[in-house]
Amino acid sequence: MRRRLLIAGAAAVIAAAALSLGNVLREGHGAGATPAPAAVEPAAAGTSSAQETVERVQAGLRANPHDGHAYALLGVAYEQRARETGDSTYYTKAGGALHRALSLAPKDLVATNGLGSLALSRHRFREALTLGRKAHRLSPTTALTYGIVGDALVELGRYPAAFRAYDTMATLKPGLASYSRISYGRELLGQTAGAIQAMQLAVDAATSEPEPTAWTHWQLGKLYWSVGRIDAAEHEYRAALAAFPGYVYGLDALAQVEAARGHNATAISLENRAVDEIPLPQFVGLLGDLYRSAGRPALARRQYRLVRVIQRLLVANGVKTDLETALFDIDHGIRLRHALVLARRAEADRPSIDGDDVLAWALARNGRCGEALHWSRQALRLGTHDALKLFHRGMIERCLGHVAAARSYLHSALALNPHFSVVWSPVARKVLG
Amino acid sequence: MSTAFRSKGSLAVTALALLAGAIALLLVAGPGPQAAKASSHREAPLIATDPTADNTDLYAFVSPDRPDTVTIVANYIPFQEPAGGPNFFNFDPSALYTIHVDNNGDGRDDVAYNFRFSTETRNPNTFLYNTGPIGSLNDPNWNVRQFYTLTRVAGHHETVLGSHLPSPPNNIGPRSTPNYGSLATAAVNTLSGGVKVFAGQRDDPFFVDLGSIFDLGGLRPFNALHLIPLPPAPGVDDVEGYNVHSIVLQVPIGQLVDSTPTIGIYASADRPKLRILRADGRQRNVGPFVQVSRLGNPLINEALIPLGEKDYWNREDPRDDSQFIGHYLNPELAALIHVLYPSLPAPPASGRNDLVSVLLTGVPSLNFTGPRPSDELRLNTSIPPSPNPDRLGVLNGDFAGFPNGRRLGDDVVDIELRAIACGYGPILHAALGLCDLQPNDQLGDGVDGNDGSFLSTFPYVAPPHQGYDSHT
Repeated sequence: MRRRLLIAGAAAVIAAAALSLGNVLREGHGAGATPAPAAVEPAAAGTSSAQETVERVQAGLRANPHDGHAYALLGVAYEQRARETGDSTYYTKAGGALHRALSLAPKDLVATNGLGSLALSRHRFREALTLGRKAHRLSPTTALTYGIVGDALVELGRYPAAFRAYDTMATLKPGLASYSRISYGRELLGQTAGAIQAMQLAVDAATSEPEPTAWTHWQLGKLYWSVGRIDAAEHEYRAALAAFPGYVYGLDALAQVEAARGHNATAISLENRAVDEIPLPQFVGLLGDLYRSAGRPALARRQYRLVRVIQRLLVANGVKTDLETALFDIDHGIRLRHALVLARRAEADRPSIDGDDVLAWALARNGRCGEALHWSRQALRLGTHDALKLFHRGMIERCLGHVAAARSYLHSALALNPHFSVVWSPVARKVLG
Repeated sequence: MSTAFRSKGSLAVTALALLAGAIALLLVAGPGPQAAKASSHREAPLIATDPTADNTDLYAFVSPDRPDTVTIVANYIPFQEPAGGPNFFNFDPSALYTIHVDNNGDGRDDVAYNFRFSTETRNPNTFLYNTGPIGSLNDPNWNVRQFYTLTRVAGHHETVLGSHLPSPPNNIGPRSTPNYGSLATAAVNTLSGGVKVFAGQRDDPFFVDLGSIFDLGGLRPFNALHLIPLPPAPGVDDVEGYNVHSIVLQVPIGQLVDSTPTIGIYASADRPKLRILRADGRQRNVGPFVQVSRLGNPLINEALIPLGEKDYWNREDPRDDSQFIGHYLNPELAALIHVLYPSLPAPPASGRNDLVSVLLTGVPSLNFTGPRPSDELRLNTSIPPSPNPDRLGVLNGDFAGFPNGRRLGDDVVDIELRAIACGYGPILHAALGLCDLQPNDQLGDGVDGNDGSFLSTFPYVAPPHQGYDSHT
């Protein structure tokens, strides 16, 4: 497996390498010599191959410590290690190498894309936007740079510009990377059927490759899940796990399906497998929620404490987690006033509908429902079919005494997806009576 | 120039790092097995590789056993590990695969063969590829099957040559696919007009010493001449043991040529364009096709087209290739040869009209198609197949081989390497005055042939390696 992925691209690369050498000769620096056009989100490949790349490049750097491009490659390999292991200290290493690369070779496309990708991973979206635009100037016909720009714009709430970038990307190079973004754009606009269709094309494009196949099936499953089509969602999650046994996102998603069906023990077992593999905070948080709803508060609390530890690790490695931390705290009734401070800061930094929604929810849970209503309207401004956002709105309306509106939103949330949240779906049902 | 690159020594070290980078590029395969994200925001993959649309090699030759026909092989989905389960390899049912034939030298296709695939799952309740031995193409044990439609397009005239044509299964092992040969034979479709077609898994006929070339442009037989010398050694075929998906098409010559016997061929893969919204705000779910990959001559995109132009080059059609002519006239690889092999004579790094001729217009008196530069694999169909094919083709006086078309056994790595190094050899030097620096006309990676034996009859490409026996 590793071998196949290692050489995937094959003959292609012989010459990409040689070409790079030629560029060095001609230009005397790394600009335009970047052999990895899209080595922004490298992944797949076994763990060892990224490590091999790291060691190989490090050997070269010992011989020539002024080689900017080699630092770019090192940084990209570190990013890959972060993705493979969930160890966020690799972000710090990646950032160091990529910044060094750009100080030595300011026009290196791999380093620029790598930093853009890293900034996205660290939720530093303004920085990602700047880097994506810089990469675009370096190579205006390369589809990938539109992905970085569009991803940053989405998280900054600049949807029309983001969707233009995605549309351009899909015009320049239809394929897995662009189809999945088109799908996301349609999903945000509440066009779930169109989003499913686009993601189905991404599934087709991923044919024959295990990780992309798993990823696209998982995404397709989440789209079905978002509109309450649990059986269809489960089918896609199982397809993901069939293509890539042990796929953590598949395990986590399947745990939600089992929980929705009332199979709490199975759900807990699946979520534990995901957490054992890679302890992402959202997995650990859900595991805590599952324990709590199973009547095992001590185990739940242990997971919640672990979430805080992981978040602190992320912060220490340059990841902005205000939004995620705020939402977790609000949902779990932890330090609500502090959570509101975090949510305000997160929304200012990341004025997307997600930022707006978390701020709305934080305000509501602090009893400031009038203000919350404004942000909830913002959060729903695209017409996204997101049951959790509709639920938040319903609770805000209820807090303001708008009984009919509250019932309407809560009903919409449950009608869309009766199992939208392990914690909040039961609350919505209870409120509706 | 920055000081770091002034001496050859540091340049070579830089080169080493860049080569490592090329390997890093290979790692870019997908969103990652356990693509751990610290984040909660949606992170869609930003990937470079796209194997199902990756047109890796194109071959075209006058069929040795049916010399009134031409056989064209277009390969996709490279580096398939035979033991690829639980995932098996298939064509993308949403993509359009096309073989284009230009028969008048204007760089536009006059005849095109379109392939559209569909995947049929017998039992949606299992994700298994097969639930028992696959004894025939209709075997109920075979759960995930592919079929295709072949359409011939000439001008505005479209003819469906065959529909619901079967592809064979992947070669899994002695339990699942015990009589693989008969399955593959059953998947050879003979259509009206003397056309034959096959689409499915085969052994990858390409051969190359990637491991050495990755290591600072090394050619093992010439290790002693390298800037960083090593003991000479035979080449190692790094494509050995891998499978690929082949589209093999055999067509009577008369259905391809116009008034001259030479045709230009290229293959492509297209994907449907999508938008989030149309200009009028409405949504169109699936738009027209956009070309995402093309291939005429081997290794052009890889060896000659700069990184930042690769997406663009792939979208463009051969008729517009004059915009890329500078990359042929002034190939960066040519300058590299003298750097890595200081004792070899330096080939000219500019004014390389010889490469334009060989790769973009055809060679005079062999397969010249006119002045319009277009990256097509040119085949003079009036040259009969050689009874004793020479891996070096035209360079060794075998005019039935590359760059006159390309046979499965033609050693295009050595041929192109020699061409770029201005080592065309004495025959072409005498015949056409092409440059012949010595010993550049002996260069090669030391891998001279494929691991599998080619078939003497259609579909010619060797059968795929079996998963069960796979060494990887």
